[in-house]
Amino acid sequence: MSDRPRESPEAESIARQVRALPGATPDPDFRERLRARFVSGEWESEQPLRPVSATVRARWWHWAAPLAAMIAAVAVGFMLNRGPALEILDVAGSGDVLVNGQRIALNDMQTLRFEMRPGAVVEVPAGGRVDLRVPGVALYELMGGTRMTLPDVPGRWFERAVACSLGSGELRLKTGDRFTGSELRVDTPDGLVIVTGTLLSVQCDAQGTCVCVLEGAARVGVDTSDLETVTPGNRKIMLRDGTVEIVPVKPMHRDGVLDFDKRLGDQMDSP
Amino acid sequence: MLEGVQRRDPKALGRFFDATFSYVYSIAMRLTGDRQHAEDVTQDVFMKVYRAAHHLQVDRSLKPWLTTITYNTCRDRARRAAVRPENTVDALKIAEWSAQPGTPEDALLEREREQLIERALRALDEQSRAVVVLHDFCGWSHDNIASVMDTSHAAVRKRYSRALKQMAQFMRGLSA
Repeated sequence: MSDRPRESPEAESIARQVRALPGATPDPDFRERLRARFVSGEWESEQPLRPVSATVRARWWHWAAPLAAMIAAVAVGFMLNRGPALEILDVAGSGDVLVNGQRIALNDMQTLRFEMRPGAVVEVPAGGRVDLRVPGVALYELMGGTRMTLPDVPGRWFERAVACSLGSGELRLKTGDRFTGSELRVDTPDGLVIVTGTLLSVQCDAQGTCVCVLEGAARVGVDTSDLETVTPGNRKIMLRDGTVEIVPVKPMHRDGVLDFDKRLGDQMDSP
Repeated sequence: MLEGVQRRDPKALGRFFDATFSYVYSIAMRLTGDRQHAEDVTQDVFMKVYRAAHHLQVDRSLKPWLTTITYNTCRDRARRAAVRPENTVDALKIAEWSAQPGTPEDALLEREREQLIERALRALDEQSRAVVVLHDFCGWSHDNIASVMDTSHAAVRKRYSRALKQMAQFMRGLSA
């Protein structure tokens, strides 16, 4: 997907002129003075370390033990906070999945399970499909042609806001009971979607991004300053030409998401 | 050279400075739109580079790192001082221009265009100017800009489009 926005010819001309700007001309005296300081390091004044007094040295354990206990408690807290792991429920179709640039056959479940982790950049082949689950938290269906970074798993008590990005394709997702209180942000080239509890799809192609909500609600916008709540039965379209509108969900989009829910909905929790 | 910079070898530091000063100063000038502030920012950047010299990664490109430090320094200064660049043509540039008698017409027109663009850049708000400078002057992608500005790709794209439109309007106004 090209990084270059489709700007008007006038705007493109401005961009070209900015690119062609020559380097700024400094005051030669300023340049020479700064060079001299940089080479000599004359602004670096190192203060000698004050020797630690004998009294302070002897009492270090007064603060070291409680500090170590605190660190241990925080570490345990972080470990317990970790939610269930992201797992592959199923795959379909043929071809190779690209995971962080590495080609993995769609039927090589062992390698896919090892490599497809939160934060991985994944590209599903056009003829394929990958179903993911975080037990009790969320179900994800990555349609063929989807390119995205896999989301983190929300923590149990803190770090409950997580994010992922969708570059192209279609992501269908459903949240579970254990998602309550969490937030998932999906970034696309055209905007962002904030999910707090829903069944929806996010589609991204060369024209723009479309978010179809079937259950719950999602906040969708071009950026954080213009988020709008999209309610069930509606979709928000954000096109590359600047068009932004909320319209009813089309039957073909609704049917696709309902199929996903019917197929995977009762597998939200681990058996 | 970078290994010498890590050791703070004066000769290596001198070569490093000569290789990077123009780049840092140009970005600072484009981002702040003001000579004095650009000099302050450039000085801060090189002081930070000096202090972090032992952490330099010799196998990585320096430009992204220098660009990020320069952008962050400009942003921090702007926040502290609520700097608003003057929308005037740089005095030193005018002096240089005037000091060249008999300049060919093409070169004059070229300078006029450059000055128009520079004025249009300075007329933008700080964030919009940063997006245009980082994207078109430094060649950064929207993703990289979003990362350093701690915002989304979409927000950067929207701001960039709006900034170019504003610059076009500004230049039409000046040329009218």
